[in-house]
Order: sequence, then structure tokens, then C-alpha cells
Amino acid sequence: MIDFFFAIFAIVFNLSTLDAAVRLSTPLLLAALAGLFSERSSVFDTGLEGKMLAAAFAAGVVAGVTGSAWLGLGAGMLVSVALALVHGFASITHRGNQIVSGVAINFFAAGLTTLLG
Amino acid sequence: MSRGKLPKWVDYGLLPVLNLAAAFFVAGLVVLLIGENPLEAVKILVWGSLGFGEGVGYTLFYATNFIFTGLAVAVAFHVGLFNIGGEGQAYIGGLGVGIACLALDRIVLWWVTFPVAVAGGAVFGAAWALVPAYLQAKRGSHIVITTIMFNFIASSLMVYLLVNVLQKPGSMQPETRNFEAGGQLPLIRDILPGLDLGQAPLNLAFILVLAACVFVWVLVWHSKLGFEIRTFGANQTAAIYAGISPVRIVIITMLISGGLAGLMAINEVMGSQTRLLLEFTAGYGFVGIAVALMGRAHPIGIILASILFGMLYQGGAELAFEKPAITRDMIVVIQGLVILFAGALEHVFRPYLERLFASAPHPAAQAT
Amino acid sequence: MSIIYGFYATDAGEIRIDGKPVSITDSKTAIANGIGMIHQHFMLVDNFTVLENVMLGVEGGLLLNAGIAKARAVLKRLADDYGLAVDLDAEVGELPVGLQQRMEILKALFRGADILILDEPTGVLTSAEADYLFCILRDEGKTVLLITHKLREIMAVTDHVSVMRRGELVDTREIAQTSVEELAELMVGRSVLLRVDKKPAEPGRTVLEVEDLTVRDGRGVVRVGHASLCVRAGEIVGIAGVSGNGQSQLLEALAGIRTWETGCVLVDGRDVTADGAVGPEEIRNMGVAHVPEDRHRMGLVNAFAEYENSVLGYHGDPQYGSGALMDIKSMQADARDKIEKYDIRPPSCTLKTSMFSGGNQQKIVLAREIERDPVVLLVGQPTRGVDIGAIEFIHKRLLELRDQGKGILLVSVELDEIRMLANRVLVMFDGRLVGERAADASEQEFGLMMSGVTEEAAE
Repeated sequence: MIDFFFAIFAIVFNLSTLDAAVRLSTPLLLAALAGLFSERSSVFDTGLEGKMLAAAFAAGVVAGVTGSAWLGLGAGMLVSVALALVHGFASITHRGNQIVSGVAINFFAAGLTTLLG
Repeated sequence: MSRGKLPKWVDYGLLPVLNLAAAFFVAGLVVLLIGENPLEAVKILVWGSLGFGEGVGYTLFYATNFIFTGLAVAVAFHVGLFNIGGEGQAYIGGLGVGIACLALDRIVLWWVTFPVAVAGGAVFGAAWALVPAYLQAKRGSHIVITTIMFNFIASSLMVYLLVNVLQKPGSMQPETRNFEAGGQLPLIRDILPGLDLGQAPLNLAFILVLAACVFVWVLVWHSKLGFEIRTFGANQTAAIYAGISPVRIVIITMLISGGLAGLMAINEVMGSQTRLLLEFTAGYGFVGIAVALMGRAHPIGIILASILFGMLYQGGAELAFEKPAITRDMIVVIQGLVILFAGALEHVFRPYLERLFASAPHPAAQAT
Repeated sequence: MSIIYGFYATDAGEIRIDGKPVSITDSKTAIANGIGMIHQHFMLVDNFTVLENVMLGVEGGLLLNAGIAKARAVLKRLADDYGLAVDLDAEVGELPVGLQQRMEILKALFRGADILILDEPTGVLTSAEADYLFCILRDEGKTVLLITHKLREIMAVTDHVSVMRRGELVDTREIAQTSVEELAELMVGRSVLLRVDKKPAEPGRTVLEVEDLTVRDGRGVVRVGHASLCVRAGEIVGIAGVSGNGQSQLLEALAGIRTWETGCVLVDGRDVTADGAVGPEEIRNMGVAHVPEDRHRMGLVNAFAEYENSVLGYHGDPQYGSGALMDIKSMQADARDKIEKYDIRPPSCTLKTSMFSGGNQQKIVLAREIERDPVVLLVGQPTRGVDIGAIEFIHKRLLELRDQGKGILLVSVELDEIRMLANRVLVMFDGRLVGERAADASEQEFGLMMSGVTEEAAE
């Protein structure tokens, strides 16, 4: 039993696990923060998945073409904000259903990224 | 107050067409972006889906799937819920259909298996909607979240079952054995050879889905349960005032919705594939959302929208063959755009149309 | 009025303040021009404190802290000047409605308003509170634009009155040179009877008996405490009180919509909970009809056609179709019947309910509930947001019903209405029934009871 705990301990508290944990939790944290912001203004953002996907795609393309990670980051943010504007236009300006609009963004991003990629 | 100012044909005819046109316009831009000619793409698409018998057969076959899942989403809409779990419910419904066929196909004729398979698909699909429905009704957990979760659970569960329990002995494929004749629905091309349907897997489930449309129409607009469903969907407080139990109505409606989604498996599993296999739902459950939104949650609208999406699926396959740059993912893009324009942005054109029709005399204008 | 405050844009015409034409495109320019509006339904954020609500929209800078300190000081001065004391750190959702009203006014003053628009402000204030409020505002040199349908209020506090009917300004009068009757005529377009002739009530057997009823709301707060009352056949019992003192909850509990904690309810001598818990459906089947206080929220489904609403709650009745299906023809025939009987306009049973005017919508609800021939009728705010012509009709109908031997429990925040219709009046304050008076007791007496002065002290 003690051995077992030591083994777990060794796995949890070594450097590469820590490294992986930070790396993997970063997108989750960012998405959670994004969700928190829109939820606070009572917009239920089901389109996070699509926004992240499209942003990752744009970031990858721009970074690959220009060779600059910073430009990639900027492009990712730009695309994500653009989709957020669509979401806002639909669900705030025109009082459309927030969930439907989020789902639409997810589909659009999922289709477009594979289509263009 | 904004609703009802327009003549009915504008509200139910012109407006959806306008929304659709906007979606296709943006889709055309995407095609341009890829470097292809959108008009040519449309030509291939329409010819591929309607130009010859086999194409029409495939179009209607896909449409059958979409009508089932579209009806499922529509019924939930009427009670004010967004059932995004049609995919998972159809998947598990396939399990019900598969079990019925595997158990009976060697013993009885197909028309004995059929009702059992229908019951199996509906019950399994409904069961998969039960837990999200219960959580929504009793605990207020958001049905969108729970049904999405249940899509993932369904997917994992089916992988486990197909790999460990139901797999054909001696095979490496995660699928069951082929159903014998007793577990296969007759194909329309065999019943009516004169129709020249080629290899299209259009089958008797097409008749079943038309019956389901009538059922939904009667249920929603002509039954007491439907009255309660619509009351709850339009005004929850009024529903409670009218003695409608929120828990009961939410659960019953979601069961019906899940059952309809589960029936989709009749078309795919019993009609076309004649075996249970991984991912046979192929996103059709999600298309149901777009179809229900476009069809204004009405069976007639859903049939029309489903045929349109059937055309997209069948024509899209032809398109991908002719123009390799436009892969079938184009359909997902169009799907997203249709959901966006017909669903979330449905009111964009309304004010303009209202202004356009404001001059026309209308009895309601004097009422307010 | 929403145009003046910038919610809607003007199609034509102009607005002048102090003789200068201004263009008001949104509420910000309205505030900048010194206009403050207090809405009938308050526009407050319930889970913010009073201070946060007042500052909403005028936070003053990117960071909150500096603004908070300043706002606190200004508010304290305003509160002292106008005698409008409110605890600045209390959460708005917790405050009684009267205080919320007070802070809505503070909010407008805080924004430097010189012209105050008050939209039906007295539904939630006792008449004494209201008069006091108007006097202060007038004496401080503010211009007050009062929107109300209560003629008494207009006669008591205003200087000029303009009458609107169907979106048009019909006429403007000096108060000193007009009368209640004239105003009523202007409002309806024909002469109306403000007083309903009624025979004395002839109460018979007890049809509704409530004993020691206690109701808690979702958060566990007692909204109705140990209420006991009885209604006899052929009488109207009124429940008077300032809005938000538990009348709504009492009515909803009796209609089966809310569960009660203790106590028992007898309809026609039968304990309604004898067979276990009851819901609205069971209560309805016992012969209790309910005209809810808020027809938009509860009494009607606005998106439905008229005929669908005229069976709401009774849709399970075999009259409207046997088995699981509904007989739309019989529903429509029934609805047309009611439309004729209650003079509902326009006479179309397939028209969407939201297209009817408030008075006609209320008639739809009344027709539905009354035509079922109930033993007891629970009525909440029967004439809220209803034009004077329909008010007259509804009052007459209720009295007719009384004379047919129904027991009617009438909840209203309009004291005048209750005194006119009821023969006994119970006063509710803070969830308790604090006393009973005959309808002809003096207004001062009711006013005192409604503001919580107990029966003994009032005597």
C-alpha cells in the first residue's frame, strides 16, 4: 500500500507531469475565463469550442507562413474576436437564441478548418 | 408583438427562403475563397442530387435521417428545450434496433422484426434522453450541457459494446454480423424496380418517417399533450397556472424527442447498413438541429429542409468527386451557416419585411 | 413617454425643454437634459446594492472606488433634503417595493433630473405616502410628469392634465376647471358610470374557509403568516394592501400554485388536501376559478390564438375533445360564444392573443374562468392595465356573479376598487391579515392599516 502511494506521489510530483499539467490546463483555463466573461454578461457561450478551433487554425497558418509566433497569436485572437462579434451580432443586436448561435459557430469553424486545412 | 404582423406566407415562406439565401451567399464566398466557381459548384450539386434516379434515391435516403432527427429537435423546441443530443439518442437507438434484428432475423420475417425494431429504437433513444430530461426537470441542469455530455457517453459506450460484446466473431472490425433477410427492411429499388433508383439504399423507413411527421403534427397541434407542450414552451408560469406539471411535461416531451431520434437508426441500421457499426450516425443528429430551425419546427418545413440537406449530402459527394478542392466538410460549413442564418439571425430581415408589408391592410393592425 | 426617455425614436415632431428643441436619441441624452424616469416596473438590478444601482450608468471613471465615495456623499445629502432615507448598502432585491420606488426616485435625482416622469407610481405606495412624495417633489421646484389611470390622484396632486386615448392626446385641462366625470368621459370617449349601482350583498353559506395558512417562498421567507378568512356565497371579500405584502402569494396558494406550510383550506366545506397534495388542476375541479394578478405572466399565453387561451387550464375537459385529441371546432365555437357574451374585440378567435388590448385580454381570462360556473372565484387585480370602459364592464360582471351566489375573493391594490365592490375588506400587511373593516370605513383608517399600524392602535 505504501509503495503504491509512493508510486502515485512519484508520478504526480515529477517535473514532466508538472510540465504537462501546466501545458494542458492552459487552454482549459483560457476557455474557462472566456466562458466566465460572457456568462457574467449573461451571454451563454456555447461557441467557445468553435472560436478556439478557428483561432488555433488561424494562429497555426499565420505562424507557419510568417514564421512569427507573435503574429500567429495576434491572428488567432483576431479570428476569435471576429467570431465573437458574429455571436454578439446574432444574440445581442438581433436577440437571436444564444445557444443556437454558438452551435452555428461551432459547426462553421469545424467545417471551415477542415475544408481549408 | 413583432410576430404575427406579417402575412403568413411571408413569415413561413419568404423569410426562411431569404435566410437560406443569405447562408448560401456566404457559402458561395467560401467556395470563391477556395478558388472554385460557386455557380459551377451549385450546378454539380443540383445535378448530382436530382439529375438522375440514383441521385434522387440517395437524396431521399439522407432526407429520411434528417427528418427523424429534425422532428426530434422540433418536438423539444415546442416545450422550450434545445435537445442537442439527437446524435447520441440516435446512436443508442441503433443499439435497440440492432439487438432486435440480431435476436429475430434468423427466426422470423422482416415484417415481424420491423415493429420490434421500431419499438427498440424508440425505447432506447427515449431512454438516452431520460437522464438529461430528469436532470433538467428536477435539478434545472441545462439540457444543452447534459445532452452534449450524453453524446460523448453514447459514443464511448458504443465503442465498448461493439469492440467487446457485439463484435462479429473472428472479425477485427468493430461491428456486428450482417443481419439476415429477417432483419433487413425491403429497399424501394426492389419493390419498385421501375423507378431506376440504381444502388440507392432508400427503404421502407421513408414511409415510417412520413408517418412520424403526421404523428408529430397531430401530437403538437391537435392533442391535449401537445397543447400542454406548447403552453409550457411559450409561458412556463401560465403552464403551472393551468395545472401542467413542469417535471412531467419536460420528461414526456424529451422521451418523445429521444424516441424520434432513436428511430433514425431504423433507416441506417436496418434499412441500409444491415449491421450495427461505429459512428453510423455520422453527424445526422446535428443536422437535425439545422433542419428543425429551418423548417420552423413544423413537419412540412422539416420535410422540405431535410430534402434540401439530403441534396447537400448527395450533391456534396458528387461535388467532392468532381472538384477535389471542395471536400465534404463544405456541408458542415453550410450547415453552420444555415443554423446561424435560419436560427440565430432569423429576425434580421424581419424589420425590413415588416416595413415593406406595413402598407398592406391587415385586420390585426386595427386590433392593437 | 418612453420616447421622451429615449427608448423609442420619434417618427415626427420635436421635443423642447425650456423652449429649446432637443433631440433625444437614447436614455443618456435624456439624463443629460435633466429628465428622469421612474418606471411602473422598476428597472433595478436585484442583486446589486442600493448604492450600486444608483450609480449604474454614471460610475464616473474606469475604477469604481472614487465614484463610490462621491456618490455616497451626494446621496446622503439628497436623502436628507427630500426625506427619502434608504439604506445604501442593502441589496435591492431584499427591499420592500415602497423602498425600491424611493430609490428609483433617488436615482433620478442623483442624475440631476429636473423633470421627473412617474409612470403609475402609486400601485406600490399607500395614498398617504404618495401624496407626501408628490408634495416634496413639487415644493423642491421639480417638474413632475405623472402618468396614471387613477383619476383621484390626478385631481388631488396635479395642476394640469392631458388625456390620452389610443396614442392620441385628446385634450388638456386645468385641474381647477374640470371634474372626475369629465376626465373619465375624455378617456373613454363616452360617458361612463364611475360608481356601480349595487344591491346589498346577501351572503349565504360559507364556500371558502382558510385557517391558519402559512406560505413560504422559494427562499424560505414567510410571505403569508397564519392567515384565516372565510368567504360566503353571494359576497365579495376584498383583500386590500400595498403591493408586495403577501396578497399574491395568498392568492396563488389558494389556487394551488404554491404549496402551503401549515393550515387548511376548505372549499364548500371539503378540506382540499383531504386526498393528499393538490395542484391547480385539482383545485379547479373543486370549483375554484382563478383570475391571476398578472395576465401576461400567468393568465395567458401571448403567443397562442385567442381560442387556445380560452380553454387554458380546462384543456383536459371532455367538452374540448374526447381522449387524447383536442376538438378544435368545439374549442372555437366555445370561444366565439364567449367573445360575443363578453364583447371581446376584435371578435376573432383565431387572432393571436398578444394582438388584443389589455382590457380585451382581461375579458378573455374572465370569460374563461367565470363561464365554468365556479363556486369560488379568486380574482387578482382585475382591472390592472385595463381601460375605463372595460373596468366598468368587469366590475358589473363581478357584481352580477356575486348576486348569482358565488363567493368572490378580490385582491387589489386599488383601494377604491375594493371599497366599491366588496362588502367586507381584509387588510394585509407584511404577510398578515391585520384586520377587517366594512367597505365604507374611512380611507384614513384603511391607509393606517395598510401601512402596518395594528388594529388596536388604529382604534
